[in-house]
Amino acid sequence: MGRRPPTRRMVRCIVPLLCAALLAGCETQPLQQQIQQKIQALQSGEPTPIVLDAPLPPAPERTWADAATDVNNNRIGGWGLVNMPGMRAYLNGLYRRIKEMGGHPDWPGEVYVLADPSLKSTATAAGNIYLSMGWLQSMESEDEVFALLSHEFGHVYLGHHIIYDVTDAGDVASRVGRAAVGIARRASQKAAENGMLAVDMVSGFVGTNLVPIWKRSVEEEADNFGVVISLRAGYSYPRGFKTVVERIATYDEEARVATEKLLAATERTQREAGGRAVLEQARRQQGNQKDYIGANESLNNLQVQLHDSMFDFNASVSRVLGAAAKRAQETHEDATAREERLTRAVTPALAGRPRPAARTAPWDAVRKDPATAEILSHYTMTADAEDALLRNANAEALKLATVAASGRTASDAWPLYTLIRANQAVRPNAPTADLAKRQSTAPERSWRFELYAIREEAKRNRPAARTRLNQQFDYFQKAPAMWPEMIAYLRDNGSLEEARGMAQTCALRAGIYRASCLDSATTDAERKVAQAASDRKAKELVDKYGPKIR
Amino acid sequence: MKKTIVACLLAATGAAWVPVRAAEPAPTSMTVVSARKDPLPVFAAPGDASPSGTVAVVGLPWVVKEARSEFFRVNVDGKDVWVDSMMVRATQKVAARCASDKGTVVAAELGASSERCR
Repeated sequence: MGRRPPTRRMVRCIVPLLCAALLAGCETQPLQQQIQQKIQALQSGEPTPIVLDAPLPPAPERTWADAATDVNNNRIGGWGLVNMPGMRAYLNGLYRRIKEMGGHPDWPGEVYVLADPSLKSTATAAGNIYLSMGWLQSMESEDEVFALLSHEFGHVYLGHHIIYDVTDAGDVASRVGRAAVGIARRASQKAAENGMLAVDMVSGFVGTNLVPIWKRSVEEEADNFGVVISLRAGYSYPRGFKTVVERIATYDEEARVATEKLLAATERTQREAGGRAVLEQARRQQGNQKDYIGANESLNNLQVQLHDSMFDFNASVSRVLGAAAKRAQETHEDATAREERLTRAVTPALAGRPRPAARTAPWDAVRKDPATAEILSHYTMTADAEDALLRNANAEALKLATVAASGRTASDAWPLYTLIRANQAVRPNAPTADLAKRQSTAPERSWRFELYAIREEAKRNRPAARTRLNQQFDYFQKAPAMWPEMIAYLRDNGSLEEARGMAQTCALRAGIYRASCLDSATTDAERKVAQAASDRKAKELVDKYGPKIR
Repeated sequence: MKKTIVACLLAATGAAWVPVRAAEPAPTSMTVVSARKDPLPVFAAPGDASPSGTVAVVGLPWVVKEARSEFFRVNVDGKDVWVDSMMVRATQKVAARCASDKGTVVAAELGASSERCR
C-alpha cells in the first residue's frame, strides 16, 4: 500500500527495452521468458491470487548442482554449519513431506543448520535448504517451520536457480546486464558516441537495482507456492506463513530502531570531534589561546556552528540517500508490505474453509530433546556472551562463553571463538592455543575459525601454521570462496610470490573472485603507490579543469 | 492533492484494506500494530464465525493478552475484545540477532531472510 518506490517506476521505463533486448536473442529461450515474465509482473502491483485447488505449475527441467560442493560452500561462509542430528532429522522429515506434496519425492536435497544467529534461510541449486540458528530459536510452531521450508522448496521447485550459473549474484547481473547492454547500444545516441560509458551505466543500474527487484519477484512466487503447499498439508496460515513474515517485520523494525540510535550516536560523536578540530585549528592559527578565547570567540563559534550545520546537512543527505539505495537493492520486499500482500492474496482462498489449530506439540518436542535443547541454549549463550563483550562485561562474557563452548558444542566454531575472545579480555596473556585446537577435528569445521587459529599460530610457529593451512585448504576442497583469504595469508606470511601466482590462477579460474584475489595479492606498499598515483592524476585534472568549472 | 493520491492508490490496490498503523510499535511483547479495517470487527469468543460488533482502531499498539484459535484478546478503549489475527498485523517475539561479523560471503541467496543484517 502507498506510493510505488522510485525503483518500480524506473522499472516501468526500462522493462519494455529490457524485454526487447531479451527477445532479440542474447540468452537461451527459457531464461529470456522467465526474466521477461517476472519483470513484467512487477508492473501490475497487484498480488497474484492464490488458488488452492488448481494443479501446481509443472516444474521446469534443471541440472542439479553438486550437493557436496554446495554443503562445502555453506560450511565456508560465516561460522559454518551446526552438528544437530536430532533437529536435522526432524527438519528433513518435514522436507520429505514437502517434496512429496510437490510431486517429487525423489529429488535431492537436505536441510542443514547454519551457525548464524540472524533470521536467515536459503535454498540452493542442489536442492539443499539452510536454516539459521536464529530461526530455530525464534519459531514457535511446526506451522512456521513448514512455511519456511515450503517457501524455500518453492525456489527449488520453480527453478529459480536457473538464472544462476553457480549460485552467484554477479552472474545474475552479468546475464541480465548483457541484455541491458543491447538496450544501451540501441536506445541511446550517446551510447554510440561513448558506448563504454553507457554500458557501464546500464550495467550498474541492472546490477544494483533491476536484479534485486527481479529477485523480489521470485520471492513472491516462492511465497505463493509455499502457501499452497502448507495449506494443502493442513497447516494454519496465520500461525504459519503470516507469523513467519511478522517475525521478519518485527526483527527488521528492532534492527531499524537500533541502527537509528547507533547512527545518531555516531553522528553526535563525529560532530563533537569535528567541533573540537575546528576549535583546535582556530587556536593554532591564533597561536595564543587567550586571543582565541577573547576577540575571535564569536568568529570561531560561528565556524563551529557552520561546521555543525554542514555536518548535519551532509549526514542527513547521505542517510536518506543511503536508505533509499539500500531499499532499492534489497532482494526481499519490506516484510510489512510482504505480509499485507500475502494475506490479501490468501484471504479469498481461505474463505469457507476450516481453520486448523497450530501444531505446537511436535516442534516443542524436538526443541526439548536434551541434545537439541543443549545446543540451542549454548548458541543463545554465545550471543549473550558476545553482547557482554560489547558492553565490556568481560567476566560475565567469560562465564557465559565457558558454558556455551562445552558439552555438545565444545568444539563448535562460534562458541569456541567467543570463549577465546572472552578469555583474552579477562586474561590478556592467557594462552588459547589449546582451545583453538578443538575445532580442527570437530565434526563440523569452520573455515573462518581455522583461518583465525592459523593466523594466531603463525605468530608462534609459521611452518606449523602453514601445514595446518594446507590441511584445512584441502579439507574445504580448495573452494574458490577461500582463495582471497588464502592469498592474503600467504602475502602476509612471507610467501608473496606464491600469493601472486595463486592470484593469477584464481583470476583465470574463479571469475567472480578475480578482483578479491588480485586485491589480496597486493601489498600495503603497492597500495600506497597506487593511491599516490591516483591522487596525482586527480590533482592534475582538478588543476586543469577546475578553473574552467569555476 | 495528497488525499486524492491516497484515494487513487486505495482504489488501485483493491480498497477494502485500510491500514491503520501505530506510531511506535512495541516489539518486546506481542502487540497488534496495525488493522486492515477501521472500524475493526470484534468477536465474543475466539473462533466465532461472525463478529459481535466493531471497534474503532484507536490507541495502537494493543498488547495481546491472550492468543487462542487464531484470535487475539486485546484491550481497546478500556474493554477486552477478541480480534481475528487475519485482520491485524502483530509483532512477534524474535530470539535472533545480527551476527557481529559476517565472515566469508559464499553465495547469493534466495530465501526467507531478513535483509537487516547484511
